[in-house]
Amino acid sequence: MARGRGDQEESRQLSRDMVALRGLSVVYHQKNATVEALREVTFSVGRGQTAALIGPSGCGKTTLLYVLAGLIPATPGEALVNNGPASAIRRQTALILQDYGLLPWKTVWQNTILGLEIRRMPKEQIAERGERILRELGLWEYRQHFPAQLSGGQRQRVGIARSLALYPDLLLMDEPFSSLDALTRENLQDTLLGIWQRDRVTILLVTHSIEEAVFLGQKIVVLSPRPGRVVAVLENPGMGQIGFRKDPAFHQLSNELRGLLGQGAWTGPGLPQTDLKGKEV
Amino acid sequence: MRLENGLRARLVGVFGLVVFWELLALILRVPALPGPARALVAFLEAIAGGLSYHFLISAYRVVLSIAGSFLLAVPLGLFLGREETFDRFLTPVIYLLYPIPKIVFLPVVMILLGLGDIAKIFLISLVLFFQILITTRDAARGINLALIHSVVSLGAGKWDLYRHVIWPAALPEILTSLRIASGTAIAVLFFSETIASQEGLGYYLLDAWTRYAYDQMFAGIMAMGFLGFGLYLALEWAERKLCAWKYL
Ligand SMILES: Nc1ncnc2c1ncn2[C@@H]1O[C@H](COP(=O)(O)OP(=O)(O)OP(=O)(O)O)[C@@H](O)[C@H]1O
Ligand SMILES: [Mg+2]
Repeated sequence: MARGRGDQEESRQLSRDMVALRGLSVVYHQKNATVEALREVTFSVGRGQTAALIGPSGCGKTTLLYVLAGLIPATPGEALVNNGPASAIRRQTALILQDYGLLPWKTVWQNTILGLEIRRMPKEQIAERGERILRELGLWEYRQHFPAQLSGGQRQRVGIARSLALYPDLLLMDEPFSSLDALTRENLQDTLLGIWQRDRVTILLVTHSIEEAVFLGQKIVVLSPRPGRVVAVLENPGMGQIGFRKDPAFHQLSNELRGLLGQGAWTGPGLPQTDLKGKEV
Repeated sequence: MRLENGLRARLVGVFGLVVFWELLALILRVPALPGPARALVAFLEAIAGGLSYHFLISAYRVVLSIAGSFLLAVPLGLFLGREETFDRFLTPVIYLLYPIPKIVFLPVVMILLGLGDIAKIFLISLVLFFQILITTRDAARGINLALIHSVVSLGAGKWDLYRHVIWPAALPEILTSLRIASGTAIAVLFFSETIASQEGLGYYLLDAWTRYAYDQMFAGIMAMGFLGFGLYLALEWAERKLCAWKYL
């Protein structure tokens, strides 16, 4: 008996999944109604892998990221991050939200080092790391600007810089590029791809864009309309290849995905977070 | 450039007020309303006399009252705005006490705290406390949840949230409430200084009034106006300093 348990523990420790969801369901309880957001979602993302999460508006994608970030409890079901239960305390998990991530009263610099400051890192170390990351993302000249003084693309870069400053091993991104124009978006997608290819950080990316899912997801998880269930998990071995956007495989997979999503009737940019605004949990 | 424009606009505004006052005084021609020129002369004379002393006393009381109510109301307001459980208990109490004109407590306050500064400061602070508290609480409550989530995901604890999100988010509204409160403060100050008082602008005004020294009375009125204007300028300056992100 004891041996059996030992084996089980060992297999857990050996699990190479960074993210593992098993039968995750989430129900929101409101005053006089319950909203079932997710139903028995099961999938995993390997360490150092990227995955794109795509599905209709309101199917629970943001909810799923919140669970993994430890902001919403995972009951019933199981949400494991690096073989442990998802938790807000876990320091290597970074969450990047679409619009509201940056604090409007802090400059680019202050926003970028916020996480380091919260973690009480020594001042010299903060200065050194902050500068390196801002330079890397081409934001150093803008460090004294407030978010309102930046373009959408620059703002999203700051959001990424702030997360990368923490040296995360898991990056959770909620439609990070959806409010950007096509050119800026591709530019940032390339930036993100570059970061991933260098650091091999695990990325789980929520998107409404089929092209983005195929460009950035080694694995593409398709969710059904609310309550979100996993409809399909597509493998995308060509991801990350040079010139992949022009590759036939890219278009083939895009089309397959488009078919799965039902002619794309409900894709396109989602309503930016109005669900969550002002509602108290 | 912007500052110069602001200054010019202010001067034009003040000038308009003076013209209006002059016209009114010309039309009415009563001793109780001297024109601005006479009032200004009286004001300058009074400054050289005892007025500056009374002005300083009043300024001291008002500033201390605003500071005191700020220090008590803001932390409590931020806390109630974020902690629903406590809010539910305290809000009914707050709304029960809020509409009561606190001035009626002046006799009790004077019995308990004496006739000096402390009683007046306490009374003014009591009035301001509720105004600032309610604004602060509502401001803290309205903060976007996604903003909070994103900072929590950076590892922020409760204290970090108050420091980096809740306080700065509520600050503009808090400063607005302070600006409104400064007007209220002077009104309450005036009242409290007219009762069993020997110093302060309220006393000075009432004293001139009972002696029918209308020029002097207007000197006192102008001093009160300047006190309010000074507070306004200080708070506006603070807002530009502390909320630079609002003025881009
Ligand atoms: N705090 C909440 N209380 C109640 N219901 C909520 C809450 N947050 C989200 N919901 C509901 O849960 C469902 C899933 O929401 P979620 O934000 O996760 O969807 P989403 O897939 O991210 O949508 P979108 O693509 O539009 O961003 C929605 O129907 C939403 O109305
Ligand atoms: Mg969403």
